[in-house]
Amino acid sequence: MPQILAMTVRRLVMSFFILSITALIVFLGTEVLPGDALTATIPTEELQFYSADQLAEMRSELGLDRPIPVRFLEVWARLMTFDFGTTIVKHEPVGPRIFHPMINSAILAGVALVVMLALVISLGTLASLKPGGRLDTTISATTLFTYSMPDFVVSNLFVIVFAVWLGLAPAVILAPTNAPKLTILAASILPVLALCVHGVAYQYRLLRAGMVEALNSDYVERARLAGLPTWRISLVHALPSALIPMLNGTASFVAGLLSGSVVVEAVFKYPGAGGELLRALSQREIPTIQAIAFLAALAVVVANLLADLAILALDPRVRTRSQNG
Amino acid sequence: MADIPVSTPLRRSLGWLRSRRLRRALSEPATLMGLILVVAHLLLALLAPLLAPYDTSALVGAPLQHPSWEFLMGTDQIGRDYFSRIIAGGRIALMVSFLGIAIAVVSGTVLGIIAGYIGGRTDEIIMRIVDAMMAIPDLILIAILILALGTGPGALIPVVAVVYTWGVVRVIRAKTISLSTLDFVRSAELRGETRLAVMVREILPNLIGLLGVELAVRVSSAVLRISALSFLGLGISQPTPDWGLMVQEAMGVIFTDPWFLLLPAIMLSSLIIGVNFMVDGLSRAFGITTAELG
Repeated sequence: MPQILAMTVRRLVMSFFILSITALIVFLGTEVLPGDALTATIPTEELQFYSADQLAEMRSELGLDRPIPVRFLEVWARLMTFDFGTTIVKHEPVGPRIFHPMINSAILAGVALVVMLALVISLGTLASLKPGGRLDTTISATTLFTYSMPDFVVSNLFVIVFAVWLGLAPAVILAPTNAPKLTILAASILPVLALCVHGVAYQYRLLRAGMVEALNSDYVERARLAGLPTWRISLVHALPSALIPMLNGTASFVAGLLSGSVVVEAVFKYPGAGGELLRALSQREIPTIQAIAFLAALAVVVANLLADLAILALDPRVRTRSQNG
Repeated sequence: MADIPVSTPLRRSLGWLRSRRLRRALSEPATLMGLILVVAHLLLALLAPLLAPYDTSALVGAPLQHPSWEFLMGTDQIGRDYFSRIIAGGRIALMVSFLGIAIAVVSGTVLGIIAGYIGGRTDEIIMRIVDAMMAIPDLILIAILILALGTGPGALIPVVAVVYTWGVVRVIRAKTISLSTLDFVRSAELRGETRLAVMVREILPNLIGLLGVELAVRVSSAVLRISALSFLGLGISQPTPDWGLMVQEAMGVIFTDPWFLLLPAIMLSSLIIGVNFMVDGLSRAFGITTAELG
């Protein structure tokens, strides 16, 4: 038990460290690469109207004239304490502004995640019952096909089919960002489906590979010889260890899900953080971009941490190994 | 799919082109279809300027015309020939992705082999950077870098390279670690070869199949992301023809002329479907497992 605790602490420290590097990347990308936050905020055609003195004055007001390491430490401290500051031009606080969109996006991604996991586990278990059989080949080919469909194409196809041809759902969601969460949830059927179409394949392939391997292992053979029913072998004995490869892919999967949700939100005009990010990008609102990018990375790191802990719980071999890169 | 492939030493001839594995892979209709789609797309991208009946940004007729012999796919909202734009719509995204991913695969391989073979602290440092880079959803990371560097091809290539290096590092590192335990690496070490020689002469040749897969898969994924960004208005901009951009333009007429949206959507999807089915068939035939592709 103390070993598990030590590993958990190690993972926590590591996650904190990874987040710090993430903050550095976001800082470098937004504030250091050609042009600082000020020149990035002011459109090029307006920049010529400012004299060098004025710009220098605004820089020192914003603290942009200080050395880069000092500025990074400040940004790092702000992000780590969830204090996202105010926007450069209008001095609006960023935190309250992105709060509701963030929650809405979390709802969308969360529901999509649950639906996807249910799909992946049922499809993966079904397919592994007879590897190479007709059902297996069909599911594998179908998921590879849907995986290859660009998310913005899938979303638009849904709009054409369900909204334009069948008239079953509204093409875009007209709820404001602070609408009751149930209203938003009810309107998000198509976005969730669109996310699933593209996202299911990745986890499905990992789970299927894990299932096939588990079903070929000695301990499952033993269970089979003991006369246990097939469904029990699949669900109770093979599934837990088959989940491990899938859990190992959590970081890529969640990051992909969040990338996808930016696109899907844009198509359906879903009132989430994706739309807020696109607005911030087009208006070059550096603090908002930093906040959303950091929170997205935080979601990925936390999901990965939870997956790592789940692996510790599922796989006794990991617990006995001293180091696990 | 679960069997672990025994690594084979490099064969210097191109015998694999005639190998039984390749023939078996191509006898599967899905793999063959994938290969045909990819080849067709590459030819189209290369030959588009020769095939296009009109200049892609010239206004040649009334807007939103239906297909006719004069305009094979009609004209778009401002009266440009849609057929010329459709066949040229993948060129920039493909070129930028291919060059960017080529750089990413080279740098990712170097870092991955070093991390996997040297191990220890070096490995630890490289992998934590990988974790951090991969924690930022790639669409957001690309968008941030584009904001800083711009959207010309000269800026997009390094952006793609920077964003996609880290996934390659992870895959190559894992494979290097599993190769390092095999006898031929051990015997090279016992012969007293330097670490550099082991990495270059023993490990690298055995990664070639995996590298081919990585290149193809990541090019298709980069094309997807760049199209998505163009669709969102952050990537390739007017008047360059680009499928993502064309889908976005077509959303305005989705209720009246849905095929304006479907044509670029079909072109983009068929490219990605082709790459994925081709890679899937080939990697199965050459014993590269799902887990290795992580």
